Amino acid sequence: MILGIILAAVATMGFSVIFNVPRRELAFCGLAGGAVWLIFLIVTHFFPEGTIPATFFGAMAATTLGRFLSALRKMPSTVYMIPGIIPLVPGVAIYRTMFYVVGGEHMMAVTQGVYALSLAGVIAVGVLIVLSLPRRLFLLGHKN
Amino acid sequence: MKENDAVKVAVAAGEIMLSAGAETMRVEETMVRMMHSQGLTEIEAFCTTTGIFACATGSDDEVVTVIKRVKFRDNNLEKIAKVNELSRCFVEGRVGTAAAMETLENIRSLLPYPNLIRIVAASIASLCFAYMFGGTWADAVNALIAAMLMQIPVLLMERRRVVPALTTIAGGIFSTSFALILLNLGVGENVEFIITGAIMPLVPGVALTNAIRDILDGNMLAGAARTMEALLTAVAIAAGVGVVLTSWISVFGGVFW
Repeated sequence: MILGIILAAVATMGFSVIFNVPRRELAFCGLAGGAVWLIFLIVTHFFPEGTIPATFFGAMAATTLGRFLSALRKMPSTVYMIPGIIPLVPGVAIYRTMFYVVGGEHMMAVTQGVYALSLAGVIAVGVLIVLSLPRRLFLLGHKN
Repeated sequence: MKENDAVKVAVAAGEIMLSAGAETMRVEETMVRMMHSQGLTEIEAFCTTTGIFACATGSDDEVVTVIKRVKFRDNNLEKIAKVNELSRCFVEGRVGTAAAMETLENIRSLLPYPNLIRIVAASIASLCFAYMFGGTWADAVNALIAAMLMQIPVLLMERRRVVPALTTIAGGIFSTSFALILLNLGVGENVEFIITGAIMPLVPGVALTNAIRDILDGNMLAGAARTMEALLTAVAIAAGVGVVLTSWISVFGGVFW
C-alpha cells in the first residue's frame, strides 16, 4: 500500500513534467498524486467493488488539495489538480475499449467504453463540486 | 486607440492559455476580466477549442472585434500560471497595456522542459503505472524501456508538426513492437500490463476529463470538440497497438515467438 502511494506520487511527478509544471511545484504535485491514491485505496479497501465512488472521492481530494496549495503557493489551482487526477484517469479502461474494438468483441468494448466514460464523468463532477465551493474556505488564514 | 490594445492584450492572453490546454471557462473569464478593467462595455468573449472571439464596445461607442485561430495545443501549466498572474496584475492596474503585451510575448516563447527530461519522466511514469496496474517488476522495467524508445520517434514527429493522430498511431506501433521484442528477450511476462503502462504517456485521460468538465460548465461546443479529440487519440493508439499485436500474433501464432 505504501509502495503504491509512492509509485502514484512518482508517476504524478512524471506527468507533471510532461505538463510543464514549474520546477518548484513538482514536489507538491507528487504530494497531491500520492494523497489522491491514498484516498482511492482507503475507499476501495472498505468497498472492494467501489472503483467509481473511490474515483469520485479521489477527484474531490485532488481539487481540495489543489485549492489549498493554490492559496499557499500563489499559483492557479489547475497546476496541482491536473497532475493530481492522473492516478485516477481511466487510461486502462480507454485502452481496453479500443483493444476490444480492434479485436471485434463489440459487447466488451461497449462495457469498457461506458465504464471509461463514467470514470471520466465522475472525476469531472468531483472536481466541479469542490471548485464551486467559496474561495475563502481554502485561504488557510492567508489574506489575498 | 486604447480600447483596441486592451482587446488585443486580452485575446493574446486567451490564445496562450488555450494553446497551453486551459479549460474554456478559465480562458473566457480571464479575457472578460481583463477587458472589463480597461473600461470597455458590452464585453463578449467566446472560446472554442480551436479559436477565440472577443468583442467589446469602447468609450466612443466603437465596437472592437478580434478573432484568433488556435492551431496547436499541448499541456503547459507553467504558461497558464504565468498568464494568470499577469492578468491579475493587469486587472489591478499594476501593469500597463504595452508592458502586458511584452510580458505575453515572453510567456509565449517560454521553452518546455528539455526533451531528454520529458522522455525520462514519462518513462518513469510508465514504470510506475505498469506496476500499479498489477504487473511484476520485470513487466514494469519492460514498460519503462518500451516507453522510452517509443518517445524518441514521437517527439521527433511532434517537432516536425506531423498531424497529431499520425504521431499517436506511431506511438502505439513503436511501444507495442518494443514491448513485444523485449518480452521475447525475457523481460516481463504480462503483455497487457506492459503495453498499458508503456502507452500511458499517450492516453488522453486528462483530455477526456477536461472535455466532460467543459460540457458540465455549459460549453457544449468546446466540450464536444475536446471529446472528439480525446476519442480520436484513443482510436489512434488502439490502431497502432492493434496493427502490431494482430500481425505479430498471426505471424508467430501467439505473443511469444
